[in-house]
Amino acid sequence: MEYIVAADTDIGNTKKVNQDSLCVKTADTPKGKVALIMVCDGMGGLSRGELASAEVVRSFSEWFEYGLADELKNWSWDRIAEITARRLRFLNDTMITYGIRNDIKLGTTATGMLVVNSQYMSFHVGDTRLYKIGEELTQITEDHTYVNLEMKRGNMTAEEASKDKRRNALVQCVGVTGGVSPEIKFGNIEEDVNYFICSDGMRHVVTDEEILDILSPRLITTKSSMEARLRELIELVKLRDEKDNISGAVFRAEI
Amino acid sequence: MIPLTANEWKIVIAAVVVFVIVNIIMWTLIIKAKKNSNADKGGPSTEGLPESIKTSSKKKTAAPDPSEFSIPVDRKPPEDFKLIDNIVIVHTDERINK
Repeated sequence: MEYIVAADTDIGNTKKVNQDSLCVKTADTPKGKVALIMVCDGMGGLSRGELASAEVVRSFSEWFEYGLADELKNWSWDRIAEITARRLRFLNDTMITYGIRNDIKLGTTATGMLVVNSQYMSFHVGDTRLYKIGEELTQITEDHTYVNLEMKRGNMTAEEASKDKRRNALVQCVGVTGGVSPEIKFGNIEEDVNYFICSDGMRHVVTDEEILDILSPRLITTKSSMEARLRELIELVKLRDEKDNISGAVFRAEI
Repeated sequence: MIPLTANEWKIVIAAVVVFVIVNIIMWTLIIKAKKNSNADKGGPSTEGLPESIKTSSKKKTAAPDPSEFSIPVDRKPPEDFKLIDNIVIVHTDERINK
């Protein structure tokens, strides 16, 4: 089995700071292959979004490199889910405390995927998305946004939600609010499927069909083609005058 | 109309001064708060949400032990843990937890 990964980010057309952070790590271990793919979108409405997203990415990145090996000796997805949720809650508490001390507000989304051989666990807070791209595009994570909540309650249609001025408003993120309940899901890695994590800046101005066309697993067979296709999608988003930062990471396993 | 005495005038003036000072402080705080919320629109935010929504996820749990989440400085990755891809992209050198 081989893992193919790529990650790319762009400040976009208008912002002065790129507040997104991301990481893609893979490793060979005695228990097989492991990977961590993660994208965090620092919150633009708040100050120091880039610090919040960097803190979360660094925390998980360090854990992957220094802590995961111990867990692999006695592997349990349930325990990993618990560790992940605790880490996100700790980071949430840390940011709130830091914010109070420095009189600033900072927060970030956090969406990631931990892969061990052909199984994965996704963890998610906010509106960064994890997609499965096969013959069709499937959103694995659920947006933690106000408009999505209202749609689920039947108070808003998809069209109303897309035009609502609160469409970027999050009901959950790391930092800012008092608690965090991450969404954690498990699955099996499928053959001929790309897994794509992207910040909202990547998907606002392109359709699902366009994402599917550009990142189709049929067109991506090597790391270089994956990197090129990801950059192509970013350039398309920029051409359409997206104002937000644009970030994405792609993972694929050749089973 | 009965003319005010000197003491009554003093009370009126003091009340006006207090009123003006309170207003200046209040409006300074309001403008500062508004500036912060408008600082950089475009990405996700929690602004404009009803308080009941913002706090709906406030599940309080026991505070985690920070040592559980920090890596000792002398710690090295195990030798049989071979990092293949290692892409970490951040846009600040600052740390919160260091």
